[in-house]
Amino acid sequence: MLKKDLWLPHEPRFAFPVFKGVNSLVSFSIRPDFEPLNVKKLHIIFGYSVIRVGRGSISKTILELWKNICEYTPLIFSKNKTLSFRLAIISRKGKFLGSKNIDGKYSAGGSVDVNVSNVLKEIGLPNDDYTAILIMTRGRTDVFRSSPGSYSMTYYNDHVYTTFRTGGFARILNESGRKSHHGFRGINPKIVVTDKITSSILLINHSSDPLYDDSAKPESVLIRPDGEKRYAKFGEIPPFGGVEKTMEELFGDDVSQFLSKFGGKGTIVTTCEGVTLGSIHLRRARDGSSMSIEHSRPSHTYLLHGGD
Amino acid sequence: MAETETLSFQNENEFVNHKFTPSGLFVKENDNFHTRLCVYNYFSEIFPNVKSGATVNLWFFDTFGKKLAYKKIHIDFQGQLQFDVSELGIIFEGTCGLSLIPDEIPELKPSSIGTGFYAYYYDNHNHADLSHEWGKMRFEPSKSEPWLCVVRPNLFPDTQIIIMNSYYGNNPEIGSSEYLIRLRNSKGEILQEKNMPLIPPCGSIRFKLEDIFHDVFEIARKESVVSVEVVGKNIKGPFTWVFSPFGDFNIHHFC
Repeated sequence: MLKKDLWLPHEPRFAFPVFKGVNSLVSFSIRPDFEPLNVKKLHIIFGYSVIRVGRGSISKTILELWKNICEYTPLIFSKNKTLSFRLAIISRKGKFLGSKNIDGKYSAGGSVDVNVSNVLKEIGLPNDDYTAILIMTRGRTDVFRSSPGSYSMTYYNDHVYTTFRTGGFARILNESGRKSHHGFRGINPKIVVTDKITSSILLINHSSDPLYDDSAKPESVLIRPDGEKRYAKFGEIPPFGGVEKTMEELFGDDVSQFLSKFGGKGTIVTTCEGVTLGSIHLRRARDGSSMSIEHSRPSHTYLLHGGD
Repeated sequence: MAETETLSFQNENEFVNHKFTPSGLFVKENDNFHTRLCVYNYFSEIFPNVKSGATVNLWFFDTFGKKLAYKKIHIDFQGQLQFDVSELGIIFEGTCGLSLIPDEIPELKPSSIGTGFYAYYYDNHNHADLSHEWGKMRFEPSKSEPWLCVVRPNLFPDTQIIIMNSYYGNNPEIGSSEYLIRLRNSKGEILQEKNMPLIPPCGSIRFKLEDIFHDVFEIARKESVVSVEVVGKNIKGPFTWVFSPFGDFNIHHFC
């Protein structure tokens, strides 16, 4: 559970990992065609309440409409149409550790670049694993509850360099009473485990409600190219916790032997009923010379929405 | 069971099957750098009772948009494919298209359905990087959104940009990529702007940022933040390719 007002419901945000021994940078560029919320776009917001959240329930629809009016009315009439940013630092066990307001106000076409490692020092936190959340004060209106651009997370030290990028959201996630989830399914078909390389997955038990207090207990299956499988319990992820597990931690120290006939290659499918999770794939050289990171994309969305 | 076909023309019918439209990515293959394309038969998880296999279709194009190879590979229920592009036996750089088509076609609402897959880029020195697929093939001209991304040329001097044409139709007169590239600062002010040469349909280009903006290091010294914007016609979202001074690298879409 975090602080109640760590973010407002309409503020897009994104939670990303910070790693011990690796410098972390995060940037955000605001699309040049970004248009702050105005009265002409209100139908999108209210349509969302009726179609996406209410789903036919009159009482739910009225409640969502009221919540959205309360959330978005101040934004419409605010004279300040710029975006501001703030960074929150969470322990990997989900405990709030500190936050910092980022200097400056940013308009369409502008960019913010934050040295997360420096922020950790300013807050007085040691070099360690964390989860960071970059929160912005306004989102898009044409694509409801999305950020007007993408977050870019870069990790580097004297050996490794990697980046991943993705959008931020103010969607209702893991918030009981407002949205129910079928569950999470993360598929990673690029697993490699050899004597030189290891792979891992990192899951973040996020929510749109800072007071979210439910743990998640995912399960994983490692599938070899010939169809042989190994099963594992991923272990508990506390609310707002971020847990990384290597293939060895999940499937045993002999997992590289299990995959050796296939060059160390395999696929891991991780599921968790009733919740949605942030899902990140990592690949590391065992000698510390390389690190790679990418988020997963939910496969069912290609079939429901067609993909990009 | 894999088979390779050579086709002498390209149109929507060649690429699209039952609304399944290939999604794309940047590909590079030479003696020191390799691309592996990874896909899992996710229909097995979404429709577990159907127990359907699936066919992976792969197309490869060079930077000029010339089609170099086509592969069709069947995978089983809960099957997977990690396809090393080196298997083609061709040294090239360009793009790929990949579609995953289940044996049993489910009823699906979207008029066009992309495929989720990943690239695993790696060199011979154990450096690697990961990227999910990026953008479906298009068969009509399209205007891009303004893609914008922070770059740090003074921290990572070897910063490169990859632009891929999004048009895979059969009319080269309407399918070339026309685009411009800009540098902006933290306030969004345009610092420099260049019109770029056309990219043919199915083609791509990669260039160093400093080759387009010769004084980008000086600009980055003066500005607290520098971003690159790419906007135009018939382009997929651009990628950055950044090399660390120590050999590790990252290839990633702007947004």
